[in-house]
Amino acid sequence: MKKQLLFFLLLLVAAVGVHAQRPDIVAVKGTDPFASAHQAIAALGGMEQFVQPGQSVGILVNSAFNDRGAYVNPDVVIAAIKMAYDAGASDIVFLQHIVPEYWERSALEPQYREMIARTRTIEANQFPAEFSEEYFVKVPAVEGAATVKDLEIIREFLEVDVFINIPIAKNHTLTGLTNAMKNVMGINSRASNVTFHLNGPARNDPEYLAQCIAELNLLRPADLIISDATYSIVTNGPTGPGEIVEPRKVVAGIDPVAIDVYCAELTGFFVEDVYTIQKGFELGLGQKDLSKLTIREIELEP
Amino acid sequence: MNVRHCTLLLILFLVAPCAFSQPATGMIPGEDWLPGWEHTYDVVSYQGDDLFFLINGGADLFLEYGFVDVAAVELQHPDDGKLYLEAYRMDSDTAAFGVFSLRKGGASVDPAEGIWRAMGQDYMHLWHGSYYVSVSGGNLKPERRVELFNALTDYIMERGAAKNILPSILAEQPEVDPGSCIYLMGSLGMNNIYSFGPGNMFSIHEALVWKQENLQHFLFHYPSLDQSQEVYQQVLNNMLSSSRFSDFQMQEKGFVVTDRHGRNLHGYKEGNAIRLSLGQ
Repeated sequence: MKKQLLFFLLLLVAAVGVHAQRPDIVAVKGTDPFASAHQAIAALGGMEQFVQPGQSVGILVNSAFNDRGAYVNPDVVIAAIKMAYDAGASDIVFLQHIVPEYWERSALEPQYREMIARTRTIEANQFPAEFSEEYFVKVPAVEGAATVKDLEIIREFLEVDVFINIPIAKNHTLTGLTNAMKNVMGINSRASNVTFHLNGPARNDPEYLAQCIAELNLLRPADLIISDATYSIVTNGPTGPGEIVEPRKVVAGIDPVAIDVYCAELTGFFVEDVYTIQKGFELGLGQKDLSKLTIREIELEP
Repeated sequence: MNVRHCTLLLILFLVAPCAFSQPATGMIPGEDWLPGWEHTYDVVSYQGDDLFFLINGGADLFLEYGFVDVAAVELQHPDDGKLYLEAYRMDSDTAAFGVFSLRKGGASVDPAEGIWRAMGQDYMHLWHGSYYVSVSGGNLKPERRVELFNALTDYIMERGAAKNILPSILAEQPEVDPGSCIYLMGSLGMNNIYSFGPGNMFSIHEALVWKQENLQHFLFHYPSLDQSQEVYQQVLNNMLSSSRFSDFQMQEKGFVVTDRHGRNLHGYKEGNAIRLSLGQ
């Protein structure tokens, strides 16, 4: 009995130890975004921490722009797909449409063509992204939300077992910085997006938009966030072309507020300019004081 | 010439400029544009707030400038690849110029008579009267790109004559190159350039931003002297109390502060305008 108790205690200590070692944010600096993304997820404990064998995975990628620095480097996404399949994902679906040309921007595309072909993309969630019963679902209310209601969102966002959010940290006209929290607007129908922009006290009210975005994030927190801060536009967003910064980092974690704060500082935005950070913090989505978090920064050899 | 003729002439005079302001769909090349080119889907068009259905990010900016309607299409050729074109009709030449000035980024401008063009490796921005046209050619055969962009430019030109009327604020600034400045008609556009902090400290009505001799210049122009004075006072108060700017000093001409990147920002009022220059 004593031996069993000792064994149990040892297991408990080991489990607590593993959890305690897991950083809140991992930021990997390097010249190879695929390797950086791979290392960032590995340092969080590996994709196995987030994806179990047989689970379905929904990935939301900011891919819909033409200028480099305005879209997520596809190498980052390819790393995430590979690791998810390696962890045993049964199905990977892109919650916002990805055009085939997107993958061709990656030198890794020929090597991973078959793997990419195994994934699915939701065709309906592209222009004009109008509501249809087949692809979208109506959400009358979000628990904890005071502002957003009657949302139209991609059905599979709520159906997949695992949700991975892959934003790029870049400039946006209304929110200053767009990154983890703002990217989740990609699951909305365009009609829902219009309400975020125009239903506030003034048209395109940045504070109202930020409140809506934060409340939308209450619907389903991401199981994993992988933010591309390798090469970003810091003016003329979200479309670009704009001035470029190159932090050369891939930032991963599960706290959207903390990741937005980290990436804001990384790309030269002032945290207090980014309303989504304050709104997200107020709603309990995460921590905005990075000194209270464990951040692991890794630099890969060139 | 009798009264009837005079009335007819007057009507023609009033209607003629409007005739050019055709819907944005009029700027979209038909399938007979060049041999072999076909639309991959029917031309789509949106008006007013429905612009959000076309643009996934950035629609707010067009609305700030004064958006009327947009038409978009993808064109495909079996050998030459694909082109994607969006034509925006704005409510004035100056609004279209403003969008053009911001969206082109750092691309250099070829200011031809009636049409201004900024071209990159695989994109093209056009300003033609009250129209702003953006063309993406990332999926075009590279050796055909310039030729096709030229053909598209000619096609847009042939839709009607345009004067390309520049904002009057530019006429008062001979030192500013219209091809490399940014013209703003509200505060949203400023978020794409430099952050003075949350809110709209400068109550932007119209503004010019340009770079010259390692300085970034801002000119905020107001409809009246009173309004410019009121905003200037508001700016001084903000600069004094802001944690974003430090080392506030009044000078013989205006004020100087330091921003958080350590750059000096010098500002002063001049007539109906507030001028700033930011060290690089």
